[in-house]
Amino acid sequence: MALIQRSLFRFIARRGVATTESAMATHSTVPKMKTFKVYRWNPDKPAEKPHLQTYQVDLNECGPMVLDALLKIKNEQDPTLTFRRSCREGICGSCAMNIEGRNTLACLCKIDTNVSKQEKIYPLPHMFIVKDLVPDLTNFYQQYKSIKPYLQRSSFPADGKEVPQSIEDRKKLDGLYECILCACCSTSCPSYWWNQEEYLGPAVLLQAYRWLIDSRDQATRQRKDMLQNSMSLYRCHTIMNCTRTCPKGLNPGLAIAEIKKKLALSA
Amino acid sequence: MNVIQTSKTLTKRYLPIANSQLRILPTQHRFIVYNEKVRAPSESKELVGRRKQRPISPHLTIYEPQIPWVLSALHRITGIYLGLIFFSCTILLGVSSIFNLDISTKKMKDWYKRYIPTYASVLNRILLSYFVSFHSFNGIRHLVWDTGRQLSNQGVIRTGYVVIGLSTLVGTYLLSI
Repeated sequence: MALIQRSLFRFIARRGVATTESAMATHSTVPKMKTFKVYRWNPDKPAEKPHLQTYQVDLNECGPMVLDALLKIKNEQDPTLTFRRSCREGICGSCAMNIEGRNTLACLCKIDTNVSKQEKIYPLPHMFIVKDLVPDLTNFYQQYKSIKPYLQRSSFPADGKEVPQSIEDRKKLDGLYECILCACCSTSCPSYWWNQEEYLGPAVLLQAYRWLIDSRDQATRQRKDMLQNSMSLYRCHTIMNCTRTCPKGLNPGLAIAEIKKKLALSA
Repeated sequence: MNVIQTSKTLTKRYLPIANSQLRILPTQHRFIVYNEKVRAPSESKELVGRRKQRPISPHLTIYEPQIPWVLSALHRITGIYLGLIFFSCTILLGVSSIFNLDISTKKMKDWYKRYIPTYASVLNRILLSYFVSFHSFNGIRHLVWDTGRQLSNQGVIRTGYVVIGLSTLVGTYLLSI
């Protein structure tokens, strides 16, 4: 009796699968289950230590990027999983995290389709964690504010219109203005890990350089003076993790070297 | 002396202070060490309380081993090893000449031969030859970087392999003599 019941159940189950499959038509039948291990920490239970939680995602049913997998997990498996995301196209910098040991944007990082390998996802390294993959970026933004990231001038053109800039001078800002302040580079920097209270870090120094070489800015003297101490700039030991990890392909390491040259060559 | 401010007065301030405000002459810039912290005045109290609970995300242990930071760490480790040996020997000689302790390089050599076991001295010899060559070549790499050259992903990897290759060759040569 039990045997008949079981075979009947199997028959119905198989029929059921067949109908859903025919409805979805194009999908292949073999599921490609990829294992994701995601860093979890819940501020409501602060005594519990952070841990890695395992999730299985069928890559046939999932978009190509890590952010797609995270959204799929959040939508279908675990709504408590917390992370920042917004534009899903690498322009907002919200979904910066450490994927497979590298800092990058989840929306620009392809899932490794090798399903035998697990994909580990951590928050940005050496940051205070608000929840799960969400780091506390207060200090990072405060440091950005401290370099006064805006045009400073004592005089403006008499006609009250824009401040002109030559094409060559404008070109100097290419590779600098594209930074989206995702904090991937700063949190990949060991110097920033150990000294983030005082050292400004690659992202903020890239912006400091962006305003130092802007031909329209007149506060170059003060900007240089602000960096002329042992911590703000000179904690950079040219490790170059920053340039290696930048998801936008920028070069903060070079910008810092150029600042150092500027400070060394002009008293 | 009037140009040196205590860190206490400086940390009271919210933003890094322009040196002109501290009446520091341009030539004195690089001798001044102060640790001003960038702080948010209003949020800081609440934030400090919250941060007591918040864990710090994992860093060194989870970051992928890559040429940039692995060679940088190696540069520091070799520097510490070579520095300890170099400075302990030179400081010992200096102290001995001040206090007439009669320590000479010959005496140090005899002491080394008598008290350091063979395996340790062989290991030390291997480490010294490779460390000296690596630290020197990587030091040149850093000097090249300081001019703003080879500071790209390709440049860092390329020069990294050159340094590894050269230091292996020269280190083996130093070991053989």
